[in-house]
Amino acid sequence: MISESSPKKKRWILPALLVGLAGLFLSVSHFTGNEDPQLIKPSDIPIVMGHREGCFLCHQDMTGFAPSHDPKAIGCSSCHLGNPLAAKKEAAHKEMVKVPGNLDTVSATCGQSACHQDLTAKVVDSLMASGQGLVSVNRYVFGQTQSPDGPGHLSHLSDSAADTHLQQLCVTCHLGFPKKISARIDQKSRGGGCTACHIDYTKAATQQMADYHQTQKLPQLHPELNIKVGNERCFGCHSRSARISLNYEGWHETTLKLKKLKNPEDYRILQDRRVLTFKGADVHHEKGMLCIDCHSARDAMGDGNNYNHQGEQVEISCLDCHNKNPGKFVGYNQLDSDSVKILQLRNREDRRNVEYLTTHKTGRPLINMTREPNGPVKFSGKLDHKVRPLNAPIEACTDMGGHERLTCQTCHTQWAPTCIECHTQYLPNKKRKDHYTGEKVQGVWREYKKDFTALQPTLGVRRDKRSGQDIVDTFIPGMILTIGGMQNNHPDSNAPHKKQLNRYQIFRRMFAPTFSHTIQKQSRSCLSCHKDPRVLGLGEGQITYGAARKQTAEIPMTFTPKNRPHPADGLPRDAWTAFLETKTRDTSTRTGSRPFNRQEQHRILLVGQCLSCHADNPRNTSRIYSRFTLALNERTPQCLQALKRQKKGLRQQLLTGKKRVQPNPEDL
Amino acid sequence: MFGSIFKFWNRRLSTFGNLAFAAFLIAVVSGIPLAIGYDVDNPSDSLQLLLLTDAPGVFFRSLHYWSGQLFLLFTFIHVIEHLSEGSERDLKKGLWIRLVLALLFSVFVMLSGFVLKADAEGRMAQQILNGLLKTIPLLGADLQIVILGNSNSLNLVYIHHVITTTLFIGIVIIEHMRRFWPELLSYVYLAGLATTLTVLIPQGLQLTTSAEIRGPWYFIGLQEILHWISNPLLVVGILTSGLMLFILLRWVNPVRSQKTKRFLFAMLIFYGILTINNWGFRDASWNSLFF
Amino acid sequence: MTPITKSTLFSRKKFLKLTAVLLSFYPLKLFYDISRNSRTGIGKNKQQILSMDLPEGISFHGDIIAVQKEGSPVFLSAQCPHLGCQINRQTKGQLVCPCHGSRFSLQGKIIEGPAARDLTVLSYTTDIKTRQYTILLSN
Repeated sequence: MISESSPKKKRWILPALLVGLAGLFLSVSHFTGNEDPQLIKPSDIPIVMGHREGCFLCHQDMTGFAPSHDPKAIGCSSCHLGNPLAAKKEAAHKEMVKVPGNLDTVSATCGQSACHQDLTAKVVDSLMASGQGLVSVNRYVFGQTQSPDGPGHLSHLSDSAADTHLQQLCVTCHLGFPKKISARIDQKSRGGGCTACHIDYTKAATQQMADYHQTQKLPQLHPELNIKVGNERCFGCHSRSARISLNYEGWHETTLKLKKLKNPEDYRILQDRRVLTFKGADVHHEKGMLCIDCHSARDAMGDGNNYNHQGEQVEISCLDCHNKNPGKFVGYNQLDSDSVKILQLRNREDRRNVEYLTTHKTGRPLINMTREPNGPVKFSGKLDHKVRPLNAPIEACTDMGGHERLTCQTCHTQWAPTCIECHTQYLPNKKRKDHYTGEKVQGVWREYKKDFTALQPTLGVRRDKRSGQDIVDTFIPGMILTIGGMQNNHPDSNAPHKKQLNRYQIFRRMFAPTFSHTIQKQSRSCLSCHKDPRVLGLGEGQITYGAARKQTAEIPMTFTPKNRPHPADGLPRDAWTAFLETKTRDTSTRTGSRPFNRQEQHRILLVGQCLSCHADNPRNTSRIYSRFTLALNERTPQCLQALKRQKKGLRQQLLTGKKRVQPNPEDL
Repeated sequence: MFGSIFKFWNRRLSTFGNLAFAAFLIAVVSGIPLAIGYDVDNPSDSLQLLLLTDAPGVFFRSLHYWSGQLFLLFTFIHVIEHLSEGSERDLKKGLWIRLVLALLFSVFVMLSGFVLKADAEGRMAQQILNGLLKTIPLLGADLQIVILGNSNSLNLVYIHHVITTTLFIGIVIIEHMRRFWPELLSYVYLAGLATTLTVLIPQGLQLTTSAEIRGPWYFIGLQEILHWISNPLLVVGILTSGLMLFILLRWVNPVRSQKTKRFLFAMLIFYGILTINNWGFRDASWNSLFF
Repeated sequence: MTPITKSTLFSRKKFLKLTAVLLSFYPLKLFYDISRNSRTGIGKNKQQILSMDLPEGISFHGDIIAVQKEGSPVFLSAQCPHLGCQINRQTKGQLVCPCHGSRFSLQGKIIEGPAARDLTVLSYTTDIKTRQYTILLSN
């Protein structure tokens, strides 16, 4: 108990201090913060989702919502969290989420158990959030891993050379990158989780937000959560990397600088000052189709499975819509509930008597591809509901022997952005702002571009993962690049400070399959595959044929490249593979993809031999095509002469630098 | 081993018994304004309205909560302090029994307060307590009725929380301390500490079920035990045996009693480790870092 | 006066004490009776109505877990068979009880955890006109 020896006064010092402190806290908390609203009645605070929503004390009359997210039904705190049971601003806004939908808080906001839990779980694992292929291919290129496939997530990058490179240059374009600004989606918008695609500020709402920052007047207009996903919402991220958004609308990004442009009106200038030139749009864009008209919700948001690359996650294919014999159909009652929900939201609920087409790849329904029972298939735009005609492929597409491995885009792609020779280097002394963290970092990865042109894509062979079949597909340089400034898989802090284009630790020459979204009705010409060395992956140049007297298949061919060889491997700087050789290692950034091997190159070029002169005459081409071996044997002495002259002409051209005209038509 | 710490504390500050009594009284008094606003037929809504419209109510609710937690904490420490000295021998046997009962009632008064919140956590706690009582053979259903009442109404829980346990605990404390009031110093300490905690960490309600739901801090270890042992009756059995051991401490000879106390203390440490494991190393889906 | 011996006092005291203890059981029984007849409060719902427009996959609706997979739905009781807590979360294809971590498959079969039984499958009726399911909750 109390000891008699210690003086009583001493024992009171500590409690007095404590009480003083408590009193200080109490008075501070009482006098700061907003005044409580006077005389609040229970009827001022409606009950929403089973509890009182105190947010309405200040934020009543918010408008602009779609019915499914009206605060009268779900309140404010179910999305924005915070404390709905507090009347003072500081207490109410404690732990409030300004932008719900960002993936770091999505499991408590959009993805809470009463709402979109299943869907957000799929999105978090989907490619737009994880960028798995981006990460794994990047690590493969940097030599950190042995295969371009593998786990990886843009939110979990390490400090290796590959990952720091990605973090500095590429990583803001993933859904996990948080959105912090409350403004319209524009060309610079990146990330934001659910809000990246599903929310947009109207002009009036943006104005109110701007006014709020000036005058503190609470905004009344809330941005609407909807599924009216127009192309502008895809643009911010997809105008980068493979430039799909740009390609689709026909624009190619040049390496021109805006400051040095003499005639900017001839170009399109983006918000981030990139200069675009027009090369030709995709036919689907010309017909007014949007990204979402082909790409279903499952394409974009994922279906819960783990995919490495975009091509594997996408479930739509050309043959779903452009097919004489369309695939399977399901009735309205067999639709899954998500599809039914989307139909309701798009005001297409009346379409209960139609049948819905399912995809070849996955068997899941496409809600904008319908037919009356036993009627023709009709396509309608998801936002404009306009019906557009569907053309089936012509016979030449489906019944062309020898071309079974080709796909639609192999012939119908007009152009693809093609970049040759860039150098990536780590500069330890330079500083930049890291877009992801917002902080300044020292030690910067810098890319030095060379050529970036719009050309018809190269062709190669891709093994389709779903069917196991080999497909001839369009390829572009994944990279033909050099990387410098590394040491032991990490950025080298002792690397030179200036750019050193000819010094590098890594050289990579790998192409990647692409779907460049520049489809047109017009297909490429026969010659553009059969005699274009660049398309075969050899680089620009000339193919000439030997005039072999013997009528054998082994007709000698030569390839004269136009471009200088790269010092690293001796191949022309824009090539993928060597002439009449089979490339076995490091073929592509996708497993199962490769350039044409020796036999394939030879076979393709053999046809080119005849087509060089006979391409324009349909009678000849049909003979060449239908009975090629016989046609080979029917080569006349004039053919052989022309071939010799061609070869001579090429030699002369090389010697004199003069260009020779095409083979003499009299020889035909 | 703790002897020197306790001596120092008792000399400089106030004894734990006094502090616990002061906390009890502050809790009782701060509960009165709450009882005015609380509607047992509409528990959650009445509390929500209190938080939104009644600023003094917000203060008293948090004060009530914090003084209650301090009451339980200081009671535990007081028990440990005096058991380690062996001073339970100075108590009459009847008083010892009443004190053990009062300790049980104290735990129940805290738990009933938790349940009376009628939010997601409170409902879960009520479910679990119901479930545990149901497993007791023969007496289970009757105990359920006497302790918790009808599962659709918090009326009996409310009455027990407000008056039954309060009366019993109060009378036993007074009998035990042989004073009606704790010393003034302990009041001042408690008031200062509880007010500071009230202002710094005000209490709200756990409305959604999406976030982590945990029981009160003193039952987190029990949650862990219930996770590991599948049969709830076994857990009830273990707890009851522990209680029997505790009661017998007053009767057994000093040597046995020392061994028993050491064993019980070790169990307490183990309970603490389980608590830390659950609280610090488990996420809401019960995935754990360790085990 | 004859001195009252200790033993007599002791036995009388003891007898009185024993009687008091035995008699106290009666008020306890009265208390028990009163408690049993105390306020019943609002009764729990016997059934719950859900719209037919359920999201695909798992969704939580208070006492019911709805599992919709491209066809007819399955309704599971959200009450954990362990101690009655409401199951309200799923992680990696398993339903997890927040109280003690029991895990169930998406069909309600017990996978792991202190619970010893599967989740109850609830029966329901469909009304196509109003597009609603009426699910019968078991008591």
